[in-house]
Amino acid sequence: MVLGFLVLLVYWLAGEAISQWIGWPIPGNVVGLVLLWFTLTVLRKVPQPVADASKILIRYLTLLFVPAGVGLIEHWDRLMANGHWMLLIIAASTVLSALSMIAIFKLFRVKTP
Amino acid sequence: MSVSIDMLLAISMTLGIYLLAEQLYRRAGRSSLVHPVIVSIFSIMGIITLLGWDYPQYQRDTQMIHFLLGPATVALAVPLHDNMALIRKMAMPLLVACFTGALVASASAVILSDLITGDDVLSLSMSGKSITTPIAIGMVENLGGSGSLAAGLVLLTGAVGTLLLPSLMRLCQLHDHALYGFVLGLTAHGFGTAQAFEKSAKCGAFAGLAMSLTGVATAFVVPPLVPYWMTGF
Repeated sequence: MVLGFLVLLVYWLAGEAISQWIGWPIPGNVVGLVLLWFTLTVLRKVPQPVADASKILIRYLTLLFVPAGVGLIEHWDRLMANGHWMLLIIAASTVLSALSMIAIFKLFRVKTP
Repeated sequence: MSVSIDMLLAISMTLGIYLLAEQLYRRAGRSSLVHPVIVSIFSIMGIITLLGWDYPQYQRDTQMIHFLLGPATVALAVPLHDNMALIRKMAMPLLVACFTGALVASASAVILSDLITGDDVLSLSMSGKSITTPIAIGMVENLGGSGSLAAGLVLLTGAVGTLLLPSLMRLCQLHDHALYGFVLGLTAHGFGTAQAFEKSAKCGAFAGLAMSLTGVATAFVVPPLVPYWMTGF
């Protein structure tokens, strides 16, 4: 468990270092995610400590972004001024994105076994 | 880091409210309108307002919870690896659909928001609206938007998506469970994935895969493009 946690931290660290080094604005933890994904693909299995640590973090993932979400309180004026537009833009963008994917599926006749 | 009473209070309150919100969610039949995150966020907003705390103080006090988002995001590699086995035979069309869907979701939101509201912080924060919250917060903060606003927009997108998408897919006659899940996970991230699992395990697995792939694809491709989608940049 602690070993698994250490592995995740080291991949995060490597991701931050790479992201700063190439100067591309990708979050370091996403670079770490991709590095770990490559490693797992090469290993062809998930080592038990990593599996254990991931399971518990992902189980409570939604709790982890509550503190950031509470920060919406600082955007109250923005929500009051543009809330209806936000809702409309999100609805339109969701429909557009779903339609573009459905079009690709129909065009290439994608079927799953 | 010195531990203060305020800090212990803030962390205990956050965990306590979250556990209560989870109970409520279960009792209410897992409707996305009472999603534990939404209920927790608004309850805590109310409580800190009543207590007279300001957000920067609450943010400092709960840094320990926020910090865990880093390793938790890296940990998403594990389900991504597990789910990739599902798509070996049709990887190409699904990857094309994923990149297209992710780009349309991000670009259309940024462009519309820039044209309609002209609010730069809001438009930048819109760029991560369809991706899973931990990735969205990091990406949007790097771009100069607001992580908190991004988190709010992501939650709103999830709720709107689970309400709109089932009718849209019925209209377009997309019945294949795997593809249905893929669209839900791409556009409505965790909310969509939860809804997909109610349909079938296969539908849920494809939604989870789409959610992680979209998060990674968006974080790599979108940041350098965003300035071109906005006027005055």
